[in-house]
Amino acid sequence: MSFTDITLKLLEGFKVSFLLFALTLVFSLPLGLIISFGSMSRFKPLSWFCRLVVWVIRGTPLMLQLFAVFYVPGLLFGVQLFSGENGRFTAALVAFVFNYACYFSEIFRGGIQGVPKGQYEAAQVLGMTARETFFTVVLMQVVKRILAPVSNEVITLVKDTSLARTIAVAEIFFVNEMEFLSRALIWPLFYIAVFFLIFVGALTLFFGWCEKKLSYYRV
Amino acid sequence: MAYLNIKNLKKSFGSTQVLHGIDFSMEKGEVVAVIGASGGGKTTFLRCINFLEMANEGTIEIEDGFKFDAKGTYTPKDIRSMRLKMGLVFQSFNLFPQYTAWQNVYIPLQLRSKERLKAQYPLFKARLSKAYREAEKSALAENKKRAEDLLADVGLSDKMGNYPCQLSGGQQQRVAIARALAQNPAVLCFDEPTSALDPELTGEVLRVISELKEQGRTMLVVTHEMEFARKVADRVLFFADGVIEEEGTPEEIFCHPKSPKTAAFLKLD
Ligand SMILES: Nc1ncnc2c1ncn2[C@@H]1O[C@H](COP(=O)(O)OP(=O)(O)OP(=O)(O)O)[C@@H](O)[C@H]1O
Ligand SMILES: [Mg+2]
Repeated sequence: MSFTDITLKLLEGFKVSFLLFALTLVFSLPLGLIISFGSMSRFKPLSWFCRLVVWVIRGTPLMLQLFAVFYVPGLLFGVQLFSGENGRFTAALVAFVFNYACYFSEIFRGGIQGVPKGQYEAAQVLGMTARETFFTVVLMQVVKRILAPVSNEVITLVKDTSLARTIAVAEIFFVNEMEFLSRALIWPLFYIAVFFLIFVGALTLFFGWCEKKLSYYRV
Repeated sequence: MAYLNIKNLKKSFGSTQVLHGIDFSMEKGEVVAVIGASGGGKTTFLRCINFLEMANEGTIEIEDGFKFDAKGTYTPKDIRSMRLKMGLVFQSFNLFPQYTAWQNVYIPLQLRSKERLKAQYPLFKARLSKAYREAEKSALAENKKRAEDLLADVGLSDKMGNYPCQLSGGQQQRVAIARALAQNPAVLCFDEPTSALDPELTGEVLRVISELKEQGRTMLVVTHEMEFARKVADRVLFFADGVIEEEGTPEEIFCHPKSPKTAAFLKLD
């Protein structure tokens, strides 16, 4: 097998990893915001429920959650939720979205609660509604506060995508195993590291750029 | 009736009563200084009349403005419209850090203009009309100009594009004053506007407040600056333990205090 063939095969696997990464972000960021609002709600049962969910999800391994999402509906309830061509991918996506939404929700909660009370009060005496206060006053301050922890989480996600291999999603490690490891070809395993390093490098540059863009004000 | 009328205002936090029935009134254009020892309830008083805290008892009334009764029930909208009649400048400025000085004044103004316009054109269809767009445009131009004028009034024409982190404390507080004035409040309240400032910066803020007095603003100023209270205020209130222990002209309070508590406080100061 030529180097080009191997590169192309691995790229195919990486495409799946990347898709899992991107879709997880798209869904888990908004869901995380909703969960963070839930856990800050003054309606106690809702806030307890959200905090319980966050505790369970953050307190158990993602790998376990992958198995749970993929197998439990079928084994316990006899429903084949994740069948078909993309079933495994969808199951992995669901597990990832919930897992990351819970982590993000805690970051958002910290960010929102870290905005000084005086900012809300200033907005109130200027006659702003709760909605206006959130969108015009609080949001950009939260964004600045959470940028660093969110970027950490995003970079962890890049590498966590490899866990999808445990339910046989055809991401990069799975492809490697099927195609190369099974033929006792070891070096592509290390070649994979290059893919991750390049991707994480690009993300690091991106977050550095964001940080710079937001450096014109201090919170 | 006086311009601002407060009757029997009481406020407790849990089991600790902080305001024990404040009766107070103010005429239009009057400047009243509030002095008193720490923990006497001055901040709580200002927060109650700006509806950041809800009084437990009593009434607050602004002539031709609103009448608030602690026994009544108010929607968030009612409370917002009452808040707009009052202005509050905080000890810690509380400017919005992500906006420039000018934006800090302009954005709240613009939000209220939009709300008024939407009330005038309640139907979505009407908002596509030319009349609506024209009104929107002229409101925008007006607010832009108003924010510029207000900042010029507090001497910050050349700092309009600066972010709060690029301004000194005194400049930040002057922006906060312009921002509070933008809503044209009936009564503008200050909670120790200079106590977070370095001594050399208090002058510029106090000067702005004196200029506002010349313009006929009605102001209620909690302060530790006795010189300022003596010179600028028409009347001085001495707060102690949640009641107005004594009130009078600066001359009466500073030179001939009747209450022993007032005398003791002024000596200590
Ligand atoms: N949110 C609150 N919860 C409980 N107690 C409060 C609260 N706000 C104020 N208090 C109490 O009310 C009392 C009066 O406080 P306040 O801040 O009004 O005093 P002040 O006259 O402004 O004092 P200072 O000169 O130090 O600013 C204090 O004993 C304070 O502990
Ligand atoms: Mg105070």
